[in-house]
Amino acid sequence: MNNKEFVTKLAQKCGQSVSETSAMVDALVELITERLKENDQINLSGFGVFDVKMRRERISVNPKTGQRMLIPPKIVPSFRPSAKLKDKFKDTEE
Amino acid sequence: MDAKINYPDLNALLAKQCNINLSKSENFTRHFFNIIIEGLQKDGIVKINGLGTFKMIDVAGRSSVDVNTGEKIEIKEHRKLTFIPSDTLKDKVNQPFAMFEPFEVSDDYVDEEDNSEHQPEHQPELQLEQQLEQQPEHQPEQQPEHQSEQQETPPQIVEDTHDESPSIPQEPALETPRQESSAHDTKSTETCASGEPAFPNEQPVTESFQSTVTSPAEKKNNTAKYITYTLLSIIIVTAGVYFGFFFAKDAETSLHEAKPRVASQESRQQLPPVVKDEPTDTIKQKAITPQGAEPSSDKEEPFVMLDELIATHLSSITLGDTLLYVANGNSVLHRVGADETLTKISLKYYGDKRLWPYIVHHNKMSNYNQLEIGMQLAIPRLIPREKN
Repeated sequence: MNNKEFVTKLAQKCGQSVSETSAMVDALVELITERLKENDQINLSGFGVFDVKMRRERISVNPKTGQRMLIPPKIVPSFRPSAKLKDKFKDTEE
Repeated sequence: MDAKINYPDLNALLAKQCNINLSKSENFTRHFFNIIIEGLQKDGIVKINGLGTFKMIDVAGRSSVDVNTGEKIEIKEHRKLTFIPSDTLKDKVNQPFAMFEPFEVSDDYVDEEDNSEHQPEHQPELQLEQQLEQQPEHQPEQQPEHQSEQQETPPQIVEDTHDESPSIPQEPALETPRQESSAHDTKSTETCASGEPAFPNEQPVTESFQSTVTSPAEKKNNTAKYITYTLLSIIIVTAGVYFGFFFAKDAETSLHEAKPRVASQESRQQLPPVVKDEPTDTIKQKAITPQGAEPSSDKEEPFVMLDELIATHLSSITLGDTLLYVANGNSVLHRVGADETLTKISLKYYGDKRLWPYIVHHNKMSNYNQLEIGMQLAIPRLIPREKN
């Protein structure tokens, strides 16, 4: 499902126009991004948790050339699905 | 900051941002996440512009160990939900560190952890020289971790010097600066600890990194701390240099005085002076080894004669905590294995980890911080310098 399909479906469900929905999706994404930027944790019960993780700097070696690179520290966004969501996918498998 | 946001908060924020009522935004977010789940169940992948991609991936089955019981268990193959953040999201979140780029490091870069492994085991006399050598280059970057290491060592060192050489006049004088600097260290580590509320899981690795982690609100605060750091390290360096000079000078003079006496072998009466100059002697060697280790020859020669005399006693003498030995010939060749340090090698052959400088000296190693796997080290036979 790509973004277009997603927005269309969401518009249908909410009974709104596609353009209106698209704007709201953007707003929500923007909100999540802003919150993550502030190192906040977004806890959505039944779905999962969005948060950020700190990665320390490390040295990686290119196995081909032996070149050693220092990878700088960085902050990465992460998502952990909730147990409830995991269970849902378990059910569909069986 | 580090707040937890849940559905109601998110709904309120969205309602405010889009100028809609709360029930509408509640409805919207509920459908938003429900459709993601639906899409995942149907297609296994959902892309949302600006946020990222939710994707189901297959995980192959594998055997593992139950952490509680230690039993082997089989993990079946299953599907797992992953989230791949979009580039825009990644970039925005990583903004504080955006200015860092990967760069190539040269081969002689020593990992901090390697360094700190050596540090606590260093010989007491060496510590000062090490500080002298390391402080100017390393300290600005590695300060926090180094200092926490050093903080633990000085008390032990002080004890050591007391045990070994109560007759050394210089030592007491040296203890004080060391303690002083350790006090400084403690202070700066404390300040550093309190300066990091933003990321509790993040160790203050390097100062430049550290200052960038924190939010703009704390930046001012941190600048003050940065200045304190710099001042403290300058004080420590100056103290180190001053005492280093003082000590090196003393060592040189006492060395010159002592040499002829030992060579002429008027042993009994000279014992105290010999004992006295030996530790300083080690320092002298240490200070010189990094460049070329030339004084070895003229120092060893006088003692070779002495060695023959002592050779008979050798079997009965155990290598103990005094450092009064002379390297004489190779007894064994040692091949450096993984995880080995000079102190470990020293401990293995001499039963005393503090005797490793003799190995460094004997092998004319230019850089004793860089032990390579597979390196051949000649382990010298150590002979006590005078009869007891």
